[in-house]
Amino acid sequence: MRLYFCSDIHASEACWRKFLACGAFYKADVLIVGGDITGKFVVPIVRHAKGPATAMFLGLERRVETADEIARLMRQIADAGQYGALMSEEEVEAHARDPALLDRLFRRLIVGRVAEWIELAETRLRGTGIRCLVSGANDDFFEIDEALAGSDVVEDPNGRVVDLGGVEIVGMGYGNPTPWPCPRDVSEEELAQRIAAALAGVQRMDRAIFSFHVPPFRSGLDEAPKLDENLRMVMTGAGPEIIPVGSTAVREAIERHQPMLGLHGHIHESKGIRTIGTTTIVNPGSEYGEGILDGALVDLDPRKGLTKVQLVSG
Amino acid sequence: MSAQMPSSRGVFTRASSGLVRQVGVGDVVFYGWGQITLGFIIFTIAAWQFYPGASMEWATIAVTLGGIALGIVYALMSSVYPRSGGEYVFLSRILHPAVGFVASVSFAFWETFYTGIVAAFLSIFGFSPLFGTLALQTGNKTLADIGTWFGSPMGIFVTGAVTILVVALFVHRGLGRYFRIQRWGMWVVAASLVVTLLVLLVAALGGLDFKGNFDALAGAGSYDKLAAAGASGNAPFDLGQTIQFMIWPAFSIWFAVASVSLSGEVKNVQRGQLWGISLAMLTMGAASVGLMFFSRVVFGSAFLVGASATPAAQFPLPAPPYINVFAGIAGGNPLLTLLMSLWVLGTMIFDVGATMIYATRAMLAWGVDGTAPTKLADVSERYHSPTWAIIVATTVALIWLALYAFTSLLAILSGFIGLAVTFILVALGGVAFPYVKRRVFDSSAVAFRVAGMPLIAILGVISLVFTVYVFYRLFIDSAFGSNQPLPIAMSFIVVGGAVLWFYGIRWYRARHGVDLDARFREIPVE
Repeated sequence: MRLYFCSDIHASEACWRKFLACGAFYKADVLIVGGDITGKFVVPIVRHAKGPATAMFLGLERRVETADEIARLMRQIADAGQYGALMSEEEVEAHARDPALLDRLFRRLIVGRVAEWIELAETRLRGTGIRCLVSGANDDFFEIDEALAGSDVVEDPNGRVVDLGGVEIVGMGYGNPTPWPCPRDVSEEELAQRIAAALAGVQRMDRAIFSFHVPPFRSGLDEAPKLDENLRMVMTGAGPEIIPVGSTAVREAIERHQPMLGLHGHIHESKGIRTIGTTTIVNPGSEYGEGILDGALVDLDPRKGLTKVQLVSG
Repeated sequence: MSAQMPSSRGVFTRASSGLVRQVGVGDVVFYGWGQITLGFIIFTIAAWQFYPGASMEWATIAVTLGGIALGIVYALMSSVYPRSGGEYVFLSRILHPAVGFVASVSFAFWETFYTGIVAAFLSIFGFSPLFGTLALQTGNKTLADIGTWFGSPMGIFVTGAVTILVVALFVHRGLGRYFRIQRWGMWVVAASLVVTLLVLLVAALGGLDFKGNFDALAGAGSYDKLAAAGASGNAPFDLGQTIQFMIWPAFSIWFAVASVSLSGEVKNVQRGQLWGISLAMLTMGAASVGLMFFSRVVFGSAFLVGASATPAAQFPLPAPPYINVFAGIAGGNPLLTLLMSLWVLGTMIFDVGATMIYATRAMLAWGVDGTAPTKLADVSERYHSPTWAIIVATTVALIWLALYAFTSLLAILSGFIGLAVTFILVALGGVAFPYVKRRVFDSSAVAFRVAGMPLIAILGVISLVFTVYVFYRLFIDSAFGSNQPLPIAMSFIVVGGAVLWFYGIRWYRARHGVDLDARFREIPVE
């Protein structure tokens, strides 16, 4: 059996379409996204009383006039993991002034794209025999869980055990606290409790996969730039100062239960394959903003267990 | 949370992880200073004797401008491919995975080489001149003996080995402590440099008598004798020689480009990078020009050439003819001599650390990618540092140090050819990017055009002119020393070896069921 695992695609349309192609491209039987599927940016495409509409996209002002040009810009914005929104100047000002209005806009666009993605997955994967597991994680609003639950093709392993045929996978989208107030940030104690509850249904730990969004603390997969109080990287004469930011609860669970495999994401710049005891742990990293899909190919043998893990980027 | 969510002009953001502010200009400048290693100016000025009529200052200014063009190409690339490991990734994506790997191996190999060589420089250009000058000023024979020992092969090796091992220990035990020391150390370096420039300024204005001090130590008439021997120092300006001299300041100033992967997700053109790389080069270029100018004014152009050209056995002082020795003599005070030596010692010690950290991070990345033994990606659970990568980098650096200290096999600057290969590839990448990756370029943050031409391609061409010229000079400039058979052979062996290694390990991994090509093969969107 071959799994393809990626994480943190953050609303990148290009990454989602590539993800759905991974079954055929890598000959994978199971496709898994380990969370953080939603985006962080809305790019207003501003209609003016006169002249073309304008948008600040990736730091450059883009001018678009025709429907085709607007559609092309929308596609570029979506591929970069952002949400384009056609607005008047007044609407832009209103959203800038009113956080509640902006929050509603984000939720509408996020849920809308997840719904489109599920529809696309159902179209592409139904009848192929390829299983598709997608879960929300610390950056994702809870509304997307409802959208995922409504699909007969996409499965959400968050907080439960999913049988993959001799191998069980357990999902966990909650994460330990970050410097940002993310929707699913919880304390290490609460995270430990949630993990314990999710693991209760596992039959064989030596054939279990922990798809926990946050990597274990001090695992080499959790190294991120240290930030100051203004969320700016602390720099040194040899680059940013790097510190471990993973979860102690996740590490404890892996050390105690020693599952076959740990699949993680969250820290985009800390890709790698490591071990904790007998458990192989993986973080494929993320370059969603460039439309590049970073992932891991995992080969499993029903008798031997894990046979190969390889990082890929496409 | 104490800070507002980082944002970008004209874009709405929400509370979500990873949104960090861009690296500040000051941080990039600080990083660039660490890479430039101003201490190299000592042998740059010493080499001036081989280019009669060359203006060191104009050569440095030209190199700084060319370096800024290259630096902007690097900065623009890092805006398109942020957080991705610098030239390794963007060259892999734009040109070919093998090209990215070769550029990375070449740069990391020579960085490791310079870990060893700069550790040797620490004695040759730092401690030996310091103790030699202090001995002259105090008349203390023990200090003279210490200075002589630091300049001996054993002194060079022991001092360098201790430095490399201590730095390796810091790197292994976690970089936090090393970086804290470095932050303070860089302030000391800056203060020492200011003191040096002030002393030279006072001397230039007539407040200090270098000639008198020198003759008092070396014997009456020594200054005039050396100045007479260096008459070519007063040769009229020669543009050709000035252009040829560019190779020397380029060797340090261009390395400020190394800050390429310091970006976040709030993407636009990374102004911190653009300004930071440019300002690092401008400030260190200005410091270099200042040191060159004041050295000529205070010590005299003819004297500098004569002193550099005089064989060590005939030099009238038991100290090497370097500008830090002369600055100490001009100051006429042991305390000033000590203070003015700290920028030389500091920049070289931190360069040992910077080169080692670069090389170990590169090895870690290859280990993760599978293009090198996965052991190199092993990270200490206790210190979360790449243990095997550090062991390899340290061992190789110690071998280079020993070869440099005890043999004459290595020319001083023999690694620049290999490093220049990477600069040329990046410049080529800048030219090719808008055409090879048209879709990515058009939607990127760097889609600037000037008269219809992509700005990054224009800057790539300018960078190419400078880097190719320097590359060409490296093969024919005997004074620089990299045109000897061994350095040339080594440079090609590294590049050729990296190509062979890339395809060899691809074959080996394929036999074990791992398709390395999948590492960079693009998945079809539809």
